[in-house]
Amino acid sequence: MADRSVIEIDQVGKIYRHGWFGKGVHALQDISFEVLPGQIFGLLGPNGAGKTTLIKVLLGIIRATSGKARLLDFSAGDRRGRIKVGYLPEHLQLARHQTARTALELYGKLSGLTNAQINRRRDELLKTVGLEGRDRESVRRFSKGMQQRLGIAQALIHDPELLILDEPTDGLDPVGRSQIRQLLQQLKQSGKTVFLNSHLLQEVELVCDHVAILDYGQLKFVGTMEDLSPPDSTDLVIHVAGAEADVRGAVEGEQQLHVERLKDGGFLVQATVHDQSNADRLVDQLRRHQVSIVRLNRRKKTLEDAFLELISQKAELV
Amino acid sequence: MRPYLAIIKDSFREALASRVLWILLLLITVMFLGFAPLGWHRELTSRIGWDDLSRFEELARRLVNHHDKPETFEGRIASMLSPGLNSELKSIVNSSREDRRKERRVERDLSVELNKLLNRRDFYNDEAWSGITLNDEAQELLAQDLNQLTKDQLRRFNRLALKAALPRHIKQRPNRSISFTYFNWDVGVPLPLTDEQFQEIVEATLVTYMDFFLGVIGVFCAILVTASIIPNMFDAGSINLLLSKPISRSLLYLSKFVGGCSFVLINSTYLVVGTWLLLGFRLDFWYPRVLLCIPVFLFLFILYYSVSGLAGLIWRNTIVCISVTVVFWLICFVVGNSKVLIDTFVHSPNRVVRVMMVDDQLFAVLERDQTQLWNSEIASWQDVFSSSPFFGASFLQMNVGPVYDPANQRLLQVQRGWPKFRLFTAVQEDAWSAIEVGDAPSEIISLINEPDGRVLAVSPGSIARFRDEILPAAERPRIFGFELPAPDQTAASDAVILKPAPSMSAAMQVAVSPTTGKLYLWNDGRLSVYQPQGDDYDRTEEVVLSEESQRAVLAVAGQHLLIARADGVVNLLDAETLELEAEYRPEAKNSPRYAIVSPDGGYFGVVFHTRRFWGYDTEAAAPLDVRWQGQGDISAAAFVSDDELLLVDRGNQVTQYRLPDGDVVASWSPSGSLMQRLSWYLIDPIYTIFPKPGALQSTTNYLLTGKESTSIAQEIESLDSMYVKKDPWAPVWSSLVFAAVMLTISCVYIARQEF
Repeated sequence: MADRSVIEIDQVGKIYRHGWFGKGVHALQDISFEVLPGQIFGLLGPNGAGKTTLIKVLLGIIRATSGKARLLDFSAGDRRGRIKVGYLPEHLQLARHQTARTALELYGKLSGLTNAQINRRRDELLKTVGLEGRDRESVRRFSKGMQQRLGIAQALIHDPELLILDEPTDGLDPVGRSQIRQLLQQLKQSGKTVFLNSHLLQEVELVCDHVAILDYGQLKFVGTMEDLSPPDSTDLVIHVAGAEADVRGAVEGEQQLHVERLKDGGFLVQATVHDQSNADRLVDQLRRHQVSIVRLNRRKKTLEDAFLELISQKAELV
Repeated sequence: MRPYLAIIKDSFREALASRVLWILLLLITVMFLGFAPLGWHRELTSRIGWDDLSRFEELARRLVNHHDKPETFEGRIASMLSPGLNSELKSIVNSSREDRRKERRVERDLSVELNKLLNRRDFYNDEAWSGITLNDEAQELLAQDLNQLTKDQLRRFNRLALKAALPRHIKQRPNRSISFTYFNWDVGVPLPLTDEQFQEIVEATLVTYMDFFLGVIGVFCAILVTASIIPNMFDAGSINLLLSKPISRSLLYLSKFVGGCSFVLINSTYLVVGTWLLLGFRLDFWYPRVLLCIPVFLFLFILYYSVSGLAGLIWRNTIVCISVTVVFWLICFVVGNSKVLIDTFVHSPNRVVRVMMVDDQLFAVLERDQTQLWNSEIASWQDVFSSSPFFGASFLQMNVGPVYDPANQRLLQVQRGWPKFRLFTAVQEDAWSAIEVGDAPSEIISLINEPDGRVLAVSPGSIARFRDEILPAAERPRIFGFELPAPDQTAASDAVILKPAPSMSAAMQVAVSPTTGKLYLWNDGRLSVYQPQGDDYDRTEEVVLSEESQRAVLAVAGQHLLIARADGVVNLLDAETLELEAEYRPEAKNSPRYAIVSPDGGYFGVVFHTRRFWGYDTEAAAPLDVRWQGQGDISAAAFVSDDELLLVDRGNQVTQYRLPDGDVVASWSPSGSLMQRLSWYLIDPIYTIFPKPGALQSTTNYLLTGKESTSIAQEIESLDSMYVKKDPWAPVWSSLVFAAVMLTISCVYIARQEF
């Protein structure tokens, strides 16, 4: 683990028990990764994968059953670490009696700010999240998106070193999402670390430079976006005709390849190739085994493809 | 502290944003506006209400009998009454059948016509009033010439003249009355009240008002409104954000809790401060102590809210919070009332209220009127002198006495029977068993010893002395075990003549000095001193010590007289000159139950209804500085010699002290009954540690009135009757401990719980 990690997660496990003698549910199993300063780190996973549980462990809202987690050089849950964190929870609910101004005042003070510090930051932040001029309205009249913007503003009010955002663009329109993405880029440029939990893969793809994928409490992947889906990595889809034995004989021994029988009697060969020579070699092998090429397509591999591939591996295991 | 103050501030914002708060504030404002035009003013007391008349039948007879004698004041008054009323009076006097309804109607008519007569300048007539002494105020008005008096002065004078003429029929009332106004219009009839009585009424009304509006309505509304605060905190999008902040979970909960109290604080502050200002500006009663109701009711709310908050933490549901709080309220109600029932039927009836030593035998009289004798062989009390058929009905005060008559070596006790009072005696030879010996004078209020030991029976209308020789009463006939009215018994007493006859009422007190034999009579704030003349008494002096008709208890011996008044003031007077020597107020405004004095007059003592004993050393001219055992639960006291004192505490534990040092020389400690022990060791501890929100009313009462004990009767005439003593601070402490425990559990729960 690097000395200067903003988040360190080492063999963290969490078991939820229901009742005194209830069977435990493994929400997290031996999760280990780290987030370095300045990264925009995306945490991905299907519903129930354990993403929010991991964030709660980091913030000390719940305790890990095993392993260690550290936040900004302090144990997870330590108030000295939390004071440097800005957090936007999923499904943020603000009290109905509050206005944007009073909400920022409250959460600013909860983060240890003085009135003067809050006053200095408040107007600028309201402008940044697009709530300028509506700051004295009751949040009762706010749309979901406006409440989400206010939630981001409260997370930023104390100028934290680390931002933990749980579904930050939830409820936002496309313009709002774009604004949030720009904001995250600005934060990255200013050296902030962002830990982003989202199920919107496109969004993660657009803003994150590092990503971790959780599924059923297990870490399926951690690394850079390039590691997850290399830029020159493509999917080759070849519609072929011929005897099944010839088709299967031609692709025998190939990695990252899948053969599927079609209704018209032909076959669909799908393979991930990293360069042109790999594609040429696969076509040559098919031709060498007397297999006719009916149609051939090349498609660039997306984050979604990589994500689904990782998740489906788990599904196959199950 | 900044984050936590921010949470509290936010809670205030939340409270101010609540519509319920504004509706309540609006309702309070409307109520204030309703009370604002209320005012009052003083005026001379001149009205005669129907309840100002007493002994109506006798009054009617006097008016009828003197109707043809206009030279007498009765005749003059009768001649001024309407013919119709005169014939009604005549029919009542001449009727052999008692018709209460008609009597009450005619009594009202008489009071109405008397009120009209008070307006007449020719009402008073020197000839008719000859031989009647007018008091100083009436004489002053008379000296001004009746024709020159204002209408109010004339009515006042005529009332004083009427009172002087018919002292037994016109009740003593304060000089001035209170008239209430609304928008400066007089409302209702003037109420003859002294300043102190008016203050007591205002205080009592204030206690009820505060208990109702704050203790019931206010707290109930507050519980409904604030019940959602803690459960709402646990909404997923709210609690995670709060817990992510660098703050302590326990302090977060406590801040939310304090914030929830802001609702009550705002409402109660507005109501109490508004009431205080209204009382001050409109009624001219400036009670800063009213403001203390704010923390008391805030505290009451904290008690309920601590339960509601814990329920909110565990179940996170507003309906459950309210339900649990209501169940808690019901439990408190049941526990509190169980204690009241046990006190009423176990503790209070068996508490010793009188103690006396007769020839080395220790007697005690219980609140339920049972006399007991100490049996040293079994170290316990044993019932003797049983004559009361109403076991447990202590508040009925069936018996007067007993007192010991040393001249005839017997105990005397009077049972308030119906239709007659019955006299019982007991002697040692018969193992102190009660023997009915005849009829006692009716309406006896006390039995007192003369210096030679003989016993005087004091009634509102007369004083009688029991004879030495009293024959046993005839057997009463019985049907199915029930006694029938007995034929007239032999008279057991002789009337004692007091010259001149004093005005006496059921509230009067009489004491006889064991050293000088003088009889001191306190009635309506007037002290009369009578010197024994043979078997009768002649008045030697009379002074007015209080303009108010206050009840008091007396004790006299040697050179000193002690008067302990109902308002808690204890006066020591020179028994000869009646000059005030010292004044104390040892128990604030709490009333005394009775006073005692050592045989030589060296020491005085007062037992208060707060069950505290106060002793006074006449030689040192200072209160006794002794730590009495069980102070706060002392219910009886008696001197057994010039320097030895018996005190009863914890119900029936007797301790003998030697004065002035207060050394304990003997004690009598019986083991309690099974019920008493159950109560002492089980029910009392549970009650002690359990919160007592209902009992906080006594705290309010104490804060507003300064009184720790209240009479169980609405209107009592004797101070020596059962009062309910309430410790105003006990419910505060127990509730404080309970709330602290609830908050601690809540803090531990939130600190350990995962969300």
